[in-house]
Amino acid sequence: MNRILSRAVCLALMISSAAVAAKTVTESKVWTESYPVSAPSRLEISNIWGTVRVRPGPGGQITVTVDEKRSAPDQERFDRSLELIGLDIQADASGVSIRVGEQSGNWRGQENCRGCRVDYQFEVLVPPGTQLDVGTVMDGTIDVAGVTGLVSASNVNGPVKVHELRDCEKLESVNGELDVSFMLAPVADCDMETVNGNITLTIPDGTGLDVTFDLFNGSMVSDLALNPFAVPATVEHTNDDGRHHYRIQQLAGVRVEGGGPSFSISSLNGDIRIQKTQ
Amino acid sequence: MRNTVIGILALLASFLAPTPVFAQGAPQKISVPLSRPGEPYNLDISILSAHIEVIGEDREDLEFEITVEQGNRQIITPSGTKPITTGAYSLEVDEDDNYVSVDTDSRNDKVNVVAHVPRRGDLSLSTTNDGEIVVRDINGRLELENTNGPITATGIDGSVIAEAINDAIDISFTNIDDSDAMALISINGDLNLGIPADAGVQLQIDTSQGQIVSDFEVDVQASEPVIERNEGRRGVEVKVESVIIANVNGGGPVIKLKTLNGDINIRKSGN
Repeated sequence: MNRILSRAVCLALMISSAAVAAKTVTESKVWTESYPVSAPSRLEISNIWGTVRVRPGPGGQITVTVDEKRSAPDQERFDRSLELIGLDIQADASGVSIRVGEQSGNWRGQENCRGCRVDYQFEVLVPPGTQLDVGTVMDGTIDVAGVTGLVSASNVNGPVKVHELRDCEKLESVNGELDVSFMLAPVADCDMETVNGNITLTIPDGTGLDVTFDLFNGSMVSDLALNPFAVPATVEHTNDDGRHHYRIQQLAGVRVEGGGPSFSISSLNGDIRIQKTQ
Repeated sequence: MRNTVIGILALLASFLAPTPVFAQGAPQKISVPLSRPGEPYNLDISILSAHIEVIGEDREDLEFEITVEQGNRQIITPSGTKPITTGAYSLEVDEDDNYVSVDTDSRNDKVNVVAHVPRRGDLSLSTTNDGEIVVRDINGRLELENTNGPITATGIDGSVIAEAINDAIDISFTNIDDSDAMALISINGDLNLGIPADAGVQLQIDTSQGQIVSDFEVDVQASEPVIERNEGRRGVEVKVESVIIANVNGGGPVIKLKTLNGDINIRKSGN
């Protein structure tokens, strides 16, 4: 694993304060780092608080700008937060992996640092063809545009906005919307899932898709001509220590144009809209 | 051995086979082996809107035929609103130590479940909307609940507790288990009870509006109103219940028949 040498700190603004009234201790800093990669590269970001923004950049490197804001109710817990919550960055020629949280990855382990918080805003430039798997949990947006590799993105309490895509694999949000648009007709299968968010899928005119729906509430609207089609039922059988579980499922399906890659769209309470690129 | 190897292999083979494209209305069949084949089992089906039919047969596994009726799911397109013509549902069947449960997350569409099962088992079946419960040829305890539809159980050897708020209950026994409590309860539906010609039972009848018709001569006993007093945090609740006690063939296990607006018909099974 090669760590890159060219770490360039563009701006480091440190504000440590012990406000008399709230006694909140805060610190902010911004830094940028570039990691050389070979195509096809991969970017993984697992954030907790904050936005992940990804845009196309020059080939041969992934450039990450991090805006970090750390706060804690007092100095003791602030110091503890430095031990508990941080960035784990792994990088080599195949790509970059950034994880926010403890080394174990269990950020909920910060129970003994109640009130501590570290917001990370990520701005990332990726070479053409980079495969993405990016996510955040709260107070942030997943904002991806113009990347040409396969994209997976997730959020819990905010939106996932991925535009000018070539292909996606899995896009999901629990309480936010999914706003997805393609620059060209996709060729890969993709799953899109929300619990409470609307899903808007924008595709170029003439794109063929087979779309399956698993919806509970919510309406479906399409600006494109489509036809319902029969989706085969599936049966899954699992055996968990003698407990046999069978799940029989059949989804509703619509075919856009002459059909194409399979997109599955599922939501509990969200509305679905399929529209063509303006 | 919890499941026969042959059963598992057959099941796996059926899953590995190419899944046929589902014509609308074609049933999806699934065979569920029991952990202890040949022994009594429990079957629990609870679906919001369902036709539930359970048929006892000479077999050791449970076979479910599942279909989903056309729902009202629609998609709005430039050429107008189109119905989604395929069903969209998921249904889950669990088997654990001869306890089998069937559940679904489908709320909008009516599910039809036809279960072919071994005769010797205890059933707990319930549905709420636009549903129907039908049971045939079962030897065991039945708990049947249908809020807005009828309940029909025929060829029953055992006991039945059935509750249908707004529709009829029709139960016909081939033999009555004298060790279990039994009750048929409805608000607005008729109660039709079929019992073997030589069976002795005690009927406790509670009806307000309907008439009572019996194929049997009955021995009506004088009964005192039952007064039940319950004291709770919100005060005292006094419940007075007056029932007609009628012995058939000298009496026997108690069957409570209660309806507010329906008729009560007591027939000889097979008639």
